[in-house]
Amino acid sequence: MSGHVPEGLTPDQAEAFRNKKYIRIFFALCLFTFLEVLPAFFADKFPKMALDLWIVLFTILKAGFVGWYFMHLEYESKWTRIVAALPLMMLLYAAVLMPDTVRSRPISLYVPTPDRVLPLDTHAPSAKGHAGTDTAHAEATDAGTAPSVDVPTQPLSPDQLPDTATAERQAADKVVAALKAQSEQAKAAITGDAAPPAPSAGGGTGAPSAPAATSGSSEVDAWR
Amino acid sequence: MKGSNLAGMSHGTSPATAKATDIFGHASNGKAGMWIFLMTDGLTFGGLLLAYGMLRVRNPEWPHPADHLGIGLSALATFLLICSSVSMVMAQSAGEARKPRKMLNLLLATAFGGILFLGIQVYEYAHLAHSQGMSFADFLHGPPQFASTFFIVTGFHGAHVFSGVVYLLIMAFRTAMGKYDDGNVNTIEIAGLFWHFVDLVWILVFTLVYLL
Repeated sequence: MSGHVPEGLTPDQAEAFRNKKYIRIFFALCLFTFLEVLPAFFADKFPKMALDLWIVLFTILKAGFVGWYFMHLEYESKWTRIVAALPLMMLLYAAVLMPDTVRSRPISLYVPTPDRVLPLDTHAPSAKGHAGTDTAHAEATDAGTAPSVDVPTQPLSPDQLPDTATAERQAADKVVAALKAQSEQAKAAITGDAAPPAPSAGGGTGAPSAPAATSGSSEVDAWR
Repeated sequence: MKGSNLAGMSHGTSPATAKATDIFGHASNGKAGMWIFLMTDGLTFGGLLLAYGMLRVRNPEWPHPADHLGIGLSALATFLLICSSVSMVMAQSAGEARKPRKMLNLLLATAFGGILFLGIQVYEYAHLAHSQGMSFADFLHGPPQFASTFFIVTGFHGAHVFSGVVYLLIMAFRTAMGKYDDGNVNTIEIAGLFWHFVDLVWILVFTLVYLL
């Protein structure tokens, strides 16, 4: 790549010329990294969208600098640059898929079950704590308050879906709220907190997803 | 040999005899091949990041990453990869100036940066598994997809760092054998392309997985 330095330099001078440029790029990249991390300390002071835009701006600059200067795209042919830029197609793909994804009903697969939580629970330090949680576990199971979630298990047919996206969104929000409440309850029961399970949201119906005259199933009805 | 590949000199040749590499300008066949590989690899990373994004925007319980993943440690890892990228280009620069000894040292420094990065990643994985209850398929404080996508994306990148370190050590060995004493560092530049690509992908992963 000797053509990238001024003519008439000795090899040593050419190397120094190149390295001087590389060091400047290095300081620019360090500065960008610092500016990128900065919003983490001002999370409350600015809108999240503004901070995200700030972060993305410097990310693009950093990635561009590495590709353009370190990977020498500045000296490559047009087609080499095009091949290098082809992965940016994923942005187009994302632009097509994301709007529909954002609008669709939320997935909420976080349901703490005793089996999931207990082996990893670092907040139950002692053997006594474990015994307590085991008891809570057994009680929760017997009382039928094991984390069951009233979400539709059958696939919905098209005519069962709400008419408008707004209604769907509102129904989804309700289900999420119900799920969150149940998650909190189940977590409290498992970790041995004294919080008594609330009677609503499918408690006492035994089998998960069983239709019953509770608020939980009415949330499900909102789906149908 | 280099001159015959110049794009400007291909105008006289008929399409039937034109070399495939003509459209890549002065780039050697090996470099063009590495660019094509990096393009496919970039698309693979793109697919993983897109899947991550779609799982995340649909999940209202997705936690704020900064609450569970350490930004300080990953920023240090970012800095390490940037440093190793600089030592990589300087290694090539030294090789062009026919200083194989200096190039060898810089290549080893680059590989050492990659090894440090992997060490940080191992420490981070162990820390997250113990303090946050994160495993490949599960997460104690939120949707399990948070942990799954984190380990898939950073794990795939870590596999690239590991491959890059092995690649660099092979190049350092060949340098020590005197293969590049003549100042022809095309092979080193191709290795550098892979290493810079790993750095570039980490810049994107750092933003999408840790910062946003």
